[in-house]
Amino acid sequence: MLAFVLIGLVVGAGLLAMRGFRPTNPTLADGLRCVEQADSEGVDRIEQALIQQGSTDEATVVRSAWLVRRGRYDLALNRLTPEMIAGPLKRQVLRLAGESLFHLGELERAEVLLMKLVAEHPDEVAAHRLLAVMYYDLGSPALALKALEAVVRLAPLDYRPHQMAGIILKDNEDFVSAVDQYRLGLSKMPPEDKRQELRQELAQVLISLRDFQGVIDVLADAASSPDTDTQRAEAVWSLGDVARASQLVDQVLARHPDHVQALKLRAKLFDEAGQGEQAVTLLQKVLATEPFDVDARYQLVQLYGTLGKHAERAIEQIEYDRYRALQDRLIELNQQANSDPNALAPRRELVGVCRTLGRHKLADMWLRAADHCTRRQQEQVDLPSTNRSKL
Amino acid sequence: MDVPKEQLTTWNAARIGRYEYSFQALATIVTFVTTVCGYPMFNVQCSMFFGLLPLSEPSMSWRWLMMIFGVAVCGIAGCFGDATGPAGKRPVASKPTPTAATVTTIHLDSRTSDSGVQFQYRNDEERGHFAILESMGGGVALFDFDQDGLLDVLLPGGGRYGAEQAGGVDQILGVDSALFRNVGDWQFTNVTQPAHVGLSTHYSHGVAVADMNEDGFPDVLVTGYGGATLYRNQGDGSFVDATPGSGLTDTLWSTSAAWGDLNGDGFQDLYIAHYVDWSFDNHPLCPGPGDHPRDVCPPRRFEPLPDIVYFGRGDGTFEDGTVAAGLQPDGKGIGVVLADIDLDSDLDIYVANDTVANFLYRNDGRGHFEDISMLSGTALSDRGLPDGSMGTDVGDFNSDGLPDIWVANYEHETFGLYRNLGQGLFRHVSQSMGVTAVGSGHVGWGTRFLDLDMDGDEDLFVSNGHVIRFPANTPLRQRPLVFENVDGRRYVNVADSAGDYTASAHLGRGLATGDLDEDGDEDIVLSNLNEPVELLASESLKRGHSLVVRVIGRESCRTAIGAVAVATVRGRKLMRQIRGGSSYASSSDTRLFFGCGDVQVVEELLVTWTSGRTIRLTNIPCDQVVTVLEPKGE
Repeated sequence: MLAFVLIGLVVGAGLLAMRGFRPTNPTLADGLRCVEQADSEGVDRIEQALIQQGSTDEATVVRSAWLVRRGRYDLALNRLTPEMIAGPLKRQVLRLAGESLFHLGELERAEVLLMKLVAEHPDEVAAHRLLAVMYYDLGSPALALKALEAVVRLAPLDYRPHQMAGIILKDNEDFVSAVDQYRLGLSKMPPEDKRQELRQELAQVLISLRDFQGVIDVLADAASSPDTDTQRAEAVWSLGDVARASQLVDQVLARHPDHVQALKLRAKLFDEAGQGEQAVTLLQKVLATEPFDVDARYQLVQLYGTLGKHAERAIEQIEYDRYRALQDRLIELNQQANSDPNALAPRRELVGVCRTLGRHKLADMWLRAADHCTRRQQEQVDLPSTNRSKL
Repeated sequence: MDVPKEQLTTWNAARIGRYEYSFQALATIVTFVTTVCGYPMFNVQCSMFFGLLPLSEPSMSWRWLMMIFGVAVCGIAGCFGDATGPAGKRPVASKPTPTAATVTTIHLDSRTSDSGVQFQYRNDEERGHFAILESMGGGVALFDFDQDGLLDVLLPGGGRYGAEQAGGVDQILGVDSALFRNVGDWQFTNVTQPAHVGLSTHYSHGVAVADMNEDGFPDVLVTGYGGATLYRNQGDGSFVDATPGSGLTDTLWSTSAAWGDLNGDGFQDLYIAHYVDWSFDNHPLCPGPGDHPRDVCPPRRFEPLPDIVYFGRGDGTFEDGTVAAGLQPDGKGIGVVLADIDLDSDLDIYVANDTVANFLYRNDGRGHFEDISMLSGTALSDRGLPDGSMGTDVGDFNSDGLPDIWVANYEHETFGLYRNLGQGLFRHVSQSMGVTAVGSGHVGWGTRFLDLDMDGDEDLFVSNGHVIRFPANTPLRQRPLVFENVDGRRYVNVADSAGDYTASAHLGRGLATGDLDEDGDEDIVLSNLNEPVELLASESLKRGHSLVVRVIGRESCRTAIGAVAVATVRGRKLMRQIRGGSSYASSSDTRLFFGCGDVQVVEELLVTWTSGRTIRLTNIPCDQVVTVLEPKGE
């Protein structure tokens, strides 16, 4: 889910970057409009025209913008020179170079260029977006939120920064602020599919806040899906309607028998109804696919206890303690990393903890963040002097 | 570049919504106008229209022109047009789910103003130390100190900082406690001076009451920072500080305490909960949110202090029984309740710990305890995490004859209702019982099971208030929770309609329950932080009949903590138990209250003392106080 949001933000940043050039040279402006409209022939034509005018730097910017648009960041970067940064096209070049470096994973260089850009042009919304994504990727949520704050200020009708802020705040267990962000996102008329996504994420945060009537209200207009139906089921159960909750969750499981949240909720309902054995079966199914789900494991430990299965309970308790310790360590390290964007040790350790917990994507993120810290510590990052590698 | 962590919690809608451009401000005016006119959906669309301008049209003059045009169109259409968006829904800030029953008969009348009880617990936060010590507040004791048949009120006074000592730290001093004698009809007289019970040697928090020397007059222990003070009741309306020579050598920071015969020798023992190792030598600076440079540090910043057990000798002296009792060393104890949780005629212990697992100790009958917290399922939340637990109590919410455990926790957690399944096992049932439906925005302290409408099932009262000075997400002052028990199947919060006090927000801390007006139901006294004490009379609009049972031990301790009484009311068995401690830092009426609804005769009353002795009474008319003495000899 977060990946889609990030992609959306980055793409949005790219498009906004194209819009935001506002060059004084009208031919250059035409060229960038062609880039924006994906008009390949127009780009070729205008590039040639600029060259014939003797505006070679402008021609380079148009071509580089086109390459960035096509995802050829390395080629784009190779065309941009440090001299251009010193010239009148500085703003466009910084943005294109920053975006290219970001996509090429050279985050520390990207950060330098984008920071320089926003320092000189605080209304550079695309740069703020890229910085937000980058900081989140580097495990610096406070900085990411600060960048998103700028995005919201500059693009007040875009739902995406609110969604991303909601995700970050939720991850940091600041649920109340996350709810505000999701609600703001929803108020900004996102497309229907995104609206559904936002509602679902908001509902999850509201469940964390135990605002069950809020969940029902938010999902009132949401389409039926395994996730939303399970959320509805949890909400109606918490508000006292056990029969409706069972019906909803059974419907989900009939269509999606491996839906983890639905299985866990059904297990709770079975447990409440005194049908512990059925609950155990469901939780075992959850743990077969999600062995690191500590909630499910705790539920299972308790169930074994109430069923008098002491041997199974003892074994499960050991597993639970192990995973819980890792989970606690994960939270602790997250806090350490969040409070210091340059702290290498917690990021390194997070890679290992995430891998042990089977959260490989998160491990990759922390690995990138750790590499970034290492490089930052090893070298003095400066502006380029001659070629791409310096850029 | 570095953004402080606390900024995470302050990044909120208000800050994002602070528009910088005038056209956006004007768009807000349109929003306001159309909202007032009742077309919120329409103004969202208008706002979108304005917001698109900077993306699509760079010229400022264009922006202004379009904006003025838009204001006119949207304003007119918003007010007079037929703009009915889909449901016209506008997001609102998250609020706790309202779950108040539309109709409740529970009603709590404030009786403070003319009662003569004018007192407030002080923490001296004005000095700006932001010490965690200041967040704890104080408790309440309701007990008949002069044995005139009316419950009196004792209130620990809190503390203050004195002059700077050598070493550069301020002295930590106590504020005097106060004793109010009940003279009937909700009138009280301050008798602190003649009773010699006011002088507080410590920054005080809690109070625990029991007749420690079996002389018929209840004695008092006041807890606090640096130690506890034992006041022996002399029976002549006065107390004497009996700490010196008593063996109570505890100097740690104590919060709640509970009396009860833990080792079955017939003498009152003491369990004293200790909190954390804060001192001015261990006083880190914890940044506050936003512009606040400092706030009270969370308990996670400190190490736990071990709780202590004192075994009484019956003569007002004690010996340290902590090792013999086998207690865990690592709790951050705030609340404690002693009760016979497994119904084997001895006192078990439940301790509400802050941010670490709670303790459930099962007594072997001789004062040695087995920690069954984890095995029982009462140590952690339903998600397997330790809560920030504060207040606690034991009751039988579902009238199945088994004592259940209730815990008031910190914000973003669920208050824990642990249903006793028997055989030392519990199930966390807060979600299915409706407790979680009130949201997770409460910081719960004093709490008691009590039957407010006398319908036979036990309701719950919780006093709430934040612990830090600048909470980001929940209010500093919070409304209490009044959970009405609906036939043992569900709890519904009726605080909004249960009276003015419960409908308003306070900095709640300790509370005690007891029948102050001798009308057969339990009233409530609340000690708030830096706010006046509150007296609430239970005046339910449709109150059932009740039977009040005073249980007195003879072979067991006279204050018969752990005695269990089961009343059969129209075939339904209601269990009540005298608890030691409970709530937070408080001591409640030790009489037992049975709500009989519209029934006027209790068919059977069976009382069991911790000695194992029982007595059975039949056909007892309701609406009276029955005194039941423990049988003696063979």
